Amino acid sequence: MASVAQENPGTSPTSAKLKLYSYWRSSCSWRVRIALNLKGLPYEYKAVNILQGEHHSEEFTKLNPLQFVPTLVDGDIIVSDSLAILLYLEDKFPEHPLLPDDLHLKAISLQAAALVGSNIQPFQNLAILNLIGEKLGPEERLAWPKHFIEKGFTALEKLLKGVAGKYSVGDQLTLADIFLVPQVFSARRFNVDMSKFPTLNRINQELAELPEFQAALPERQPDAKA
Amino acid sequence: EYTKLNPLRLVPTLVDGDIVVSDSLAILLYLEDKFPEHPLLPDDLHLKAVSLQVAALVGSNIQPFQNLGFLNLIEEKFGPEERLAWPKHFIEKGFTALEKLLKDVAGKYSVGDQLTLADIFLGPQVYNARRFNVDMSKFPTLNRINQELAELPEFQAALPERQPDAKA
Repeated sequence: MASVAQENPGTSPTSAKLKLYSYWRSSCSWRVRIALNLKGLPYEYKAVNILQGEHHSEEFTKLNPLQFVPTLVDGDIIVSDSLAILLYLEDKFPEHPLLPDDLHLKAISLQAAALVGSNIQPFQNLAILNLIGEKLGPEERLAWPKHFIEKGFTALEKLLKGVAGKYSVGDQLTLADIFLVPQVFSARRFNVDMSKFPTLNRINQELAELPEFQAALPERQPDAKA
Repeated sequence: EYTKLNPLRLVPTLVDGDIVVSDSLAILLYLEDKFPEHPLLPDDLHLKAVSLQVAALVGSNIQPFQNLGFLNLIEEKFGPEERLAWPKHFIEKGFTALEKLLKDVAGKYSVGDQLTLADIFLGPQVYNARRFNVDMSKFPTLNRINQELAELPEFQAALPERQPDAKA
């Protein structure tokens, strides 16, 4: 298994090393952290405090006019969006592949990623929740993400039920697993009963054992708050 | 019947013999692998990443907020005015980002002069933007690209109104 590699901003050398602009709590950033760990890629962690609007700062905007977090910087190349970043890493650093060779299984892994990335996470990100809370009140602010997560997980459970092995797709770690873990964490925050999704729950528990996943946890990041 | 084919009950679904794939991005990437002629992604990793970012931006940051199920939910919770306002807001927000992303790499199409996934995701989203009264003149690069795409027979044949199930 690839070794965990992450260095603190203060002590890391400069040069062509990858840089990841990340927010400790962002599930999208979390996905990229997992992938970098699984591929054994050292990177410099650059914290961007989304709560304080640092992604709108002049400095960050200069780097990435899209103002998106996570952002990966690889020399001159700047990539936003966790899925685009992960597919970039797959091409650029083909060791420790994160997608199956088999086209059917590959498609399933990508479907799982898309299900989480397009059908679940967008409906529970901070901006949306604030909007819902503001317009409809605090109860809706909790009910809304729970609804979308449960709907998405129902589909994901069906998708993976027939192909899961130790992990989402057989016994190989793939993008499906990388997208799953942060989403299950969110699910718990919004009081989703994970026992309704036994396949997802079991896979998540397996993944939680892995050092590469543990090192990517929000609470272990340099910008984590107590 | 549809659920038996695809328990996820999502549309679109592609069937290739025994293989069933949902989600437009997963389907497109499957097609890229299985049928490598007429590639829809650049070889250059940077440009490929730009094209995929467009696809992801549209697919995750814009389209989910204007699909039918979501709009019905918005109308139910907030009323009919919000049903128009929400998609417009998300499309404009997303297009603002897309305009920045493509400004410097666009050629004839989104990424240089090669047709890529970015164009495939852009076309339908601009079509929908107009339905929700988005002023496309605010996004000159996207508008220009979209007009180029509209000339292509492959894009024209894919238009909603040309499909067998289109209603007058």
